[in-house]
Amino acid sequence: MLSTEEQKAKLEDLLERVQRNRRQMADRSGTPAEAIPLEPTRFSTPEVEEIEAASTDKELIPIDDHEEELPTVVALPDNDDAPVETLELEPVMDEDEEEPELSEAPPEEDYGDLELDSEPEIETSDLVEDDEEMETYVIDEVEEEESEAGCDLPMRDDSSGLKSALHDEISNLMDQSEPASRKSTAAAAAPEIPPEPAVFESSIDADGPVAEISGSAGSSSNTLAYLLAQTAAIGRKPR
Amino acid sequence: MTEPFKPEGFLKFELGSGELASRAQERLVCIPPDVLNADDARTAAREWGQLHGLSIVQESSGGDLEALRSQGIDFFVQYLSGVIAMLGWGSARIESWGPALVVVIRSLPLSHEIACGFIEGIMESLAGESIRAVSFDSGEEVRFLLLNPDAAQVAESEKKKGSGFVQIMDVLLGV
Repeated sequence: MLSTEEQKAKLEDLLERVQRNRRQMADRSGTPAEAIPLEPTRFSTPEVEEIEAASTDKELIPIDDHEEELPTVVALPDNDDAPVETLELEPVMDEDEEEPELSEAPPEEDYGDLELDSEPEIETSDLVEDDEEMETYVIDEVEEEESEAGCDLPMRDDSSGLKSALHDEISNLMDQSEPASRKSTAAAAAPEIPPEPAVFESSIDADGPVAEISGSAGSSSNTLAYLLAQTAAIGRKPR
Repeated sequence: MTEPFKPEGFLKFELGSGELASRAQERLVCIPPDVLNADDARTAAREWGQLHGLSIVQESSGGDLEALRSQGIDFFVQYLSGVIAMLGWGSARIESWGPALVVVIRSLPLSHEIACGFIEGIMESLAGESIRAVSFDSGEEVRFLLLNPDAAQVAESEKKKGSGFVQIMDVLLGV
């Protein structure tokens, strides 16, 4: 009889294999696993400045050390409950183990792997319109996964049963690919999306002129012209 | 004991949060009367945004549009967020979701229509083609997905059906 820790380790190993298999299938088919990148590329101005506009000298007065203002740029969801609901392994967690561990680690590193076809947007919820809609989205995604992958992962505390189900799931995933209609459509229409977005940041020199250009200014794939053309081309049929 | 009126400090800008406040501590925003009084505020705001777009080109590159367009997006975002902050509209950033550009404004104190029009005007003056913004409210932030008019129409239709940003992007990308 395996101990709880051993069971958990084995389950995590199985899940990693599931995730790896899905990625391999996506690579073989040339179909991006998701249409949206893991996280948005953010362009932001972290500087915090204050201007007394009515003062005659218009001196800019810093109101705070602005380094800590960055969290407002990386906007985390107000509601942390919804991402937790996406963790399908929740029922098999050790009861003695502290649940907060799920939300303490970076979702990209740990919990992205816990989903069979993880969409980190769900976990970071950067683009969720509001809490209620976010929950709806998560539920829809889970249902979609079940229907697409053709597997219904039993949610029960019986770890041996779950392991068995995971083995079956691995077998299914090895044998199955995404529906042909979706794969062919996505391969033909979906633009290439990098698996890891680059992050660019810039700052405002409150005295007026730009003090320094950071990031990849001038690189062809990140110019204003290129990005505007890209976004304006969304939804247009290729000629 | 009486004091004469003192203009100093009547208006206070906080660029970090993009907030403009009066000495009486109420929040203010800058909107020209042509937009406020217009029957079609969005169209008026778009025309206003176009003026700001041209102003950004003038200020950033001496009127050389191509010089600005060839710069990285992080160069431009300084101007966009600076303008948004100085108008008291909140703090702005730009996100790139694959091919989609999204302007995000935190703590936006005015209607989406005016903000959409303004952003559209700025962006299309730089893009050289029509740009429409589709807004998504997400708590304290509002996201403006930049699209061509046809795609924006599809996005608005999907939004009315209850679709979120990601689902709409799936539709637009044909996934």
